[in-house]
Amino acid sequence: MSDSAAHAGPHRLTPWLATLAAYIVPLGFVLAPMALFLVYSFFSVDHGSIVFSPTISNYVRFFTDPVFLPIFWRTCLLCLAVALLCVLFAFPVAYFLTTLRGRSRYMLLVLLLVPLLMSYVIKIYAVRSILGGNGMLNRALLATGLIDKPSMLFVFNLNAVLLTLTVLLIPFAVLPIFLSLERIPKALRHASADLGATNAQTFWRVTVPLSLPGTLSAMSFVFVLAIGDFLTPQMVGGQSGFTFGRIIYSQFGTAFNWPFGAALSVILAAVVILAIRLGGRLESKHGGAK
Amino acid sequence: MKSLKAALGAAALAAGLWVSAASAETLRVLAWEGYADPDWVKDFTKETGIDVDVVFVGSDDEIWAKIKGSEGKDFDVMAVNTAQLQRYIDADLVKPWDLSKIPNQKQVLPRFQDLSKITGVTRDGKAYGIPFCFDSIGLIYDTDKVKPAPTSMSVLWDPQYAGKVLAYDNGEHNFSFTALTLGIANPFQLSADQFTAVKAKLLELKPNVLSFYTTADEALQIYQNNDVALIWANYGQQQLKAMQKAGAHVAYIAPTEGSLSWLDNWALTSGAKDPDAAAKWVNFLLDKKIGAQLSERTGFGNTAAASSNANDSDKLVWLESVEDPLKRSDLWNEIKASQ
Amino acid sequence: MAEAGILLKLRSVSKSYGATAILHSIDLDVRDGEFITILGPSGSGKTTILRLIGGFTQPSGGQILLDGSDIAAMPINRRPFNTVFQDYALFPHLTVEANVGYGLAVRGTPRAEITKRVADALELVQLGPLGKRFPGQLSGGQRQRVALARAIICRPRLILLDEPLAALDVELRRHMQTFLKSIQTEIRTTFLFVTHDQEEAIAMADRICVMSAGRIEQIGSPHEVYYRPGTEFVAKFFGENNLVPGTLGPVEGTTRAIDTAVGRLVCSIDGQPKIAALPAGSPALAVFRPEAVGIGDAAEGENRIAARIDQVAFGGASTMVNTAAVHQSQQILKARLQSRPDGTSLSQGETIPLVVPASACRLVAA
Repeated sequence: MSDSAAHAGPHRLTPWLATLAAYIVPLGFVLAPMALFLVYSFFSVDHGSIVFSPTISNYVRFFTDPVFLPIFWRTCLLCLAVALLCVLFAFPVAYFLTTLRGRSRYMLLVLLLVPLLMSYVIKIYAVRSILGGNGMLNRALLATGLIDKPSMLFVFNLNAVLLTLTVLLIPFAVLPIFLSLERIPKALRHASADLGATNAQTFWRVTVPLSLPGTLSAMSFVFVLAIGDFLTPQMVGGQSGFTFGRIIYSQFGTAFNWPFGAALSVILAAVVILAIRLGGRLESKHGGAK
Repeated sequence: MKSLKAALGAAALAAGLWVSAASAETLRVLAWEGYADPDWVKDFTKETGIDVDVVFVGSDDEIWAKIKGSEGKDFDVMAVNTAQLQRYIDADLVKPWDLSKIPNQKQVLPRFQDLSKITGVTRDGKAYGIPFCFDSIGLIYDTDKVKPAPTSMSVLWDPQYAGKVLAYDNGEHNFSFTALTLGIANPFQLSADQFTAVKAKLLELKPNVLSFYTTADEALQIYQNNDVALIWANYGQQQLKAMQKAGAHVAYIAPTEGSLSWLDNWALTSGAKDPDAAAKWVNFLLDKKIGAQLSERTGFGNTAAASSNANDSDKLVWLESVEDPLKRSDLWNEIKASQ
Repeated sequence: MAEAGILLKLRSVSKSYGATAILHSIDLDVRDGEFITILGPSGSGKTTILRLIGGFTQPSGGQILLDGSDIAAMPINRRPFNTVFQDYALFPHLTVEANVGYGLAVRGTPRAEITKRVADALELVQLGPLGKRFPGQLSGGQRQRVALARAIICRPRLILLDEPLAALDVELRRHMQTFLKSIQTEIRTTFLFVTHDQEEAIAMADRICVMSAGRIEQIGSPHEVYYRPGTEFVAKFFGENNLVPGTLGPVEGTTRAIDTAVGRLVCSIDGQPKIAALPAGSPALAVFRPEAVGIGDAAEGENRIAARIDQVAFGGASTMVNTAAVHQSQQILKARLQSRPDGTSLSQGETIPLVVPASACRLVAA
């Protein structure tokens, strides 16, 4: 072997290793666990131990048992509502951000993202104490005389889950919307005004449609985060705020029925992938005309 | 070079000594925090000359993993609750105690003297568990809102407390306590009919429930921010004391139909090297002074000395493993899912 | 007051950002129906003038008068102008038809009328069949036409074009120049066209406003700015030129002499009162185009310069000759001479008599 070949060895190895690393991360930490879930979903449980022979009974159970499908649809609907609300609230915030200039814009953006650094559980605690019977909201409403006894309309039910998830996930919606708004060239708004459009017309005919890619990815983002959440319904859902995430959690946490939990997770993952694909497709449809 | 050799030699010597000391008279204890405090260990070693190595655990699963993993050879004595012990007996991971080596067991509180009356600690007349520490899962009530003081869990179903009940999010316990409330003798082995009855009863409970909690902190926080009258107290006396400390006007009762209670026992592993040393350890801990200290420090009941955790008249139903955990969990989901 | 034939007047308009002045006291009249080009290098302030007229930015001083009244407070969408933006600024989410019809739609024009006028506009810009496409599916030239159609459909009184051809390749740019000019002729709308390209300006404009460093250097027809530059900057800006420095001599009727290194040159000062008014001895430049230079004996009213050939470049019909003028200096002169069909060429080192008519020789202040 010649010297040059010997020297070339490690150099040729380096990109190869980098490629390997690039594949190992998604393969090892994302795809492998998901594949494991898929495999487990075809097993069953007998007297507390897993039976490793393939069966589709878990899926049959999901589609035939009267408990799961209604909860599943209810949860999807709930998360869709959360996504809509988040976008509705996040849009004006993101829009306001784009009207700011320089430092104040990024200061506010950072400020909006600060809650993401806080513990999720603590945030739920905080929201729950605001919504609670003796919470800030009720005390404020009582003080203004709007109600004469504490309202339990916003805590320990599905409304509470909806509100809490919305409050917690709004920052996730602001960012993509802000980015898509920021990407709209100023010239387009000028062009619109130049052609005689009022500010409102420009907003509805140019700004909103062009922010649609970001708005849709914000929606699918929030939907995915909401549908995977099992803590919020547990903590603020009370006796009626039961969601699909809770069922999955119980399969792993208390029932020790991992195969069924895995099957439910696979179904959830399918919905999540569908939501992301849907968001992506609409996005490319509207953004692709550029 | 010379000094290095000397150092190595000294280290080897020290290691040898340590190993021999450990193998000679060291009792290996697996226990929950609070069950083997350093001052007790020190006194025990002074009294018996037996060194003690304590490893603390955080969950039932961890105990199982540690004992099962070494087939009982890594530890001599361990703390385990009544609902779990049978599983160890089945797996031959524990062996029966020689009660003659534990004279203090004869001095314990009346309800713990006859081990055969405590389901779960014996098999075939042999004692596998020596009761040590317990607490009931009773009812915490707001003394301002609930008058007169309730006596039974059935108060949870009282319509005047609609939306003011905090329940615990656990299917197993909820089925057991509801079965007790319904007067079912064995709440841990429910028949199909009994399941139907208990499920129906739990569904009736739902409108009264404000929320299902999982941790004591969470329950306290909900209590502070909402109009809560009754709490099914999974964390027993500890939970009560924490709430009182936070300024809540609450009190605790053990229901007359019987309160589910957990009971931790000392068990002898099948791999125990020196059963006599283990028996000495248990005997040492079944001391009235240590029992009182245990209750004072942890808030749990002890078997040696009377504590506020239970009057002799309180009916305590020791937790057992249930007939079908999966079924209970599934039914519990159904109950929660129902609109 | 409205003035006949004048659409828009800029009076002492200035613009500055903080301490940086972009425009200094601009006076400019835009005549009804003309094709006026604002020409200047980048940073000369030409786009700022367009943005001020369009309303995209506000003047720091001065007035912009439409029909005699100041439009400073008039919002963009109320100004009867439409703009063809530099990168077209087509709405990517709308079809060509919707883009073109946008201005009508926001005014609440009935749908049927929109359809008809969009079809007409697309016909005018020769994009008839592409109405259903999205801007992303069009070539640069096609987008350009969409932008134009979108601007003209509202029948504005003035169309502002901000370097609309800059992004196109040379071939297409030439084609679009002719096209734009023909459209403008057809619809008789005033065009204000901003560019940095002199050839483009000369090819299209009725009048050119040459700008430099925030000031107007000269306003005039393409012929005027090319052959009768008012300033040194303008003289240098359009193609190759000869600029010979010297000191001014006396005025004689419509001519004035200038003493230069290549001798005394007589230049026309017709229509240049400023130059006429300068005292004798003032520094100035004699300016004449290479194509104005001939060979031979000087006739009456012509300047004669003896020069030695330095470099010859054959360029087909004409031959570019760099000469060094003999006299006391090494002043380089350029001459574009007719090529000799017999194949004989001017040779390096040869001394030839160059002739520049006084009428083709202009003076600018140095």
